[in-house]
Amino acid sequence: MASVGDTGGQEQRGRKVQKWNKRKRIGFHIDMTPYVDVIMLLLTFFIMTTTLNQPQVMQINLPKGDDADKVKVDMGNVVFIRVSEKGNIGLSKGKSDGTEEQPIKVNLEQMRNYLEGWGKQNPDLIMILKFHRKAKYDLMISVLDEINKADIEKRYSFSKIEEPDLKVLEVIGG
Amino acid sequence: MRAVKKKRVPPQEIDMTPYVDVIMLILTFFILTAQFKAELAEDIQVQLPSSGNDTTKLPERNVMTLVVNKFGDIFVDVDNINVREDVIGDAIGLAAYHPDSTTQPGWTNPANLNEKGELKRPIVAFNDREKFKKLLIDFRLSSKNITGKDLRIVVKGDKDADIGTIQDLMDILKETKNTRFSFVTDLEQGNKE
Repeated sequence: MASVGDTGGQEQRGRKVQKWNKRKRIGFHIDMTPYVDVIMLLLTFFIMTTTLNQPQVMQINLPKGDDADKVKVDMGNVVFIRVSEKGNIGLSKGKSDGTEEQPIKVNLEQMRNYLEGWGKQNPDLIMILKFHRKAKYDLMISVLDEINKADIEKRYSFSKIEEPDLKVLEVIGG
Repeated sequence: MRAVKKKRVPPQEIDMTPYVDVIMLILTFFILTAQFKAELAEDIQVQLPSSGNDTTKLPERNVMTLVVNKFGDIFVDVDNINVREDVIGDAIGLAAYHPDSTTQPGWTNPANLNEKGELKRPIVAFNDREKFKKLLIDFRLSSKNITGKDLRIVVKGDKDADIGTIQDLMDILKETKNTRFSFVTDLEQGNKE
């Protein structure tokens, strides 16, 4: 009874409570678990959506296509690379008199070796690429890639495949 | 005895702060490096051919992507949403053109386009070569107006696409005076060089 009514005792008790509260606040502690959960989710999302390996590109420059740009080339500098529907590659060198040599059937590796050899002999070498319309794009990229890899001047142009070209390709098996 | 001892040991709390710090760093890294594009690559699946010699990376901004799938369709997309809105009148529209009139466009069957068999973006078909050429020119002009930078053109062809389609596309690019472009390829695995 005395202790309840005693103001002094109450004061002391109040101070004690305050002190205890203060001490508790010093040891203030946040539960980080939900925070970490959310961050992990975000992290997973960004890891999943990031594309780290950007694809490569192969740069192509076409001629502007104006009539004024047309140049006459010596057939002796020309190499025809013809690709048939079946994916066979025929390589033939032009002669200065306007005709061309017999086509050679090559694979990609051989083509690069031939081109490197000819390119060293003749720095003005020009490659004319004639792809059959039904040949696959994959092969076209491979051919361009081999030309890029070859240690020669990269001068090539795309040209439409025509009847005479198909006849040439028949020689190497179509 | 043992029980009493256990009671005395205060509950072990692991301090998560350093852990959270590191995770925040990684998170920041991924947020900063992430690129958000209209996910065309996801929408139209193509198998890229591989090549071993290309060191140039795909440009990140102001890109016009020409996707050629194995059905001979050409899809045109520009990464800037305002340009798309301006040119084809649909911010998420995807322009498509089928150059070979003797075959059916592949996009008529959505199952052709990707594994899921559905395309999230509406296709705006161009059936006329002249209109398609105008579209390419419009894209370039609009992009120049809106972003102030030149569009870079990349061609993403499927391995099994016919060269004929690519040649048609190259002719169109040439006729529209887009003479600089790139073919997108995968870096060859196990490159001998």
